[in-house]
Amino acid sequence: MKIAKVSFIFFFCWTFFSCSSKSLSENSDREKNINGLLLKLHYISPKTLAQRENANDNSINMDSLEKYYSRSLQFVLSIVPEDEKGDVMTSSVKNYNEYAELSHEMNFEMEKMVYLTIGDKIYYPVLSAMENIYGMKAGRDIIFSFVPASLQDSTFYQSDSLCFTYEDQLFNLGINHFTYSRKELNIN
Amino acid sequence: MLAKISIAISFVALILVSCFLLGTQNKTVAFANTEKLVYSFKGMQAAHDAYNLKQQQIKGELEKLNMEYQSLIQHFKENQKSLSEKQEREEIQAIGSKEMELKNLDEKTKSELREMDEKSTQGVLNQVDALVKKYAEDEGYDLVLGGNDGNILYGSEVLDITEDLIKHINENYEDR
Repeated sequence: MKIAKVSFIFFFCWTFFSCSSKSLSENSDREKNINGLLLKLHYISPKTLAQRENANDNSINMDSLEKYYSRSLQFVLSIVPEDEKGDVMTSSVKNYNEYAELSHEMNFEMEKMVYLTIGDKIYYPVLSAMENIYGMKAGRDIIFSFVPASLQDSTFYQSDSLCFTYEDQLFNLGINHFTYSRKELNIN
Repeated sequence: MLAKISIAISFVALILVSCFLLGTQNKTVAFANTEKLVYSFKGMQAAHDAYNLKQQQIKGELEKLNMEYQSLIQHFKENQKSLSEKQEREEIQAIGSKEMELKNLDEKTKSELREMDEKSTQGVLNQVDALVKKYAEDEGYDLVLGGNDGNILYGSEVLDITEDLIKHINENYEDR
């Protein structure tokens, strides 16, 4: 009887932790396959950013770094061919002019196509940067950074749900929403 | 012994027949009303809203420029008699360039709106395609036909998955 009880508790704990760890890893990314492309959104947690900075300069306290990065929200939007072959920059263009236009828009105009809805407020990115990969990858990653209107902006820090919207005008992907709950962001 | 073997064979045969019958009962073909599907899609509504917003912004810009143009004409008409030849020439030139500016903006915005409409419609269709594909794969459909009234001559209501698809694509529009 005792063995049965212990086995049950062990099984329960194992199931619980395996489910939680699965949801933890799955929570941070959102993916959509549209028009032969994979649209992937990744939330970068303050912890990750702090760890990255700490790896370069460990003289700064991790807690203060994490606190610093938790004032803003960072996301990476990846646009990748479904089969990860070729180059997303050249797959939809017909000539060099179109390529140059696409490149310009991805470098400098993405901020206008993206916004974050938190509660009843809309936040536009204060920074967007396309990762320069020198044609080494099939897709492109664009990093977006959002900040509150002020440090007292309670909506930005406390509202339960956040929706990242990408109104695509480059690859015929339509308007795409990626929703996160505050809890998911805090876990990550 | 022989009896046992025949019972076993009968049992296996029964299982195979049951599997076959169950297999044929699986829905593998279905159809949906494409027009209803696309127009009931939340993404289509969002694209319409974005288009209307842009149209309103453009309309505002055009109206502002048109008012400036009208006020130049009005000013010219009211003061024409008192203007010197040089002033008259300058005002006519200003009216002409404002008219040109208005015409250019009108053409530019029309083309921008047309491009936006084409891109957003194509985007919506691509999104619907992707969501229908996922639904069909998840639900085990081998073939999903799309058509509006008249395109499919007959289809039993059992095979009509329009409502289920609308529910699915709208639920999955905002990714969680």
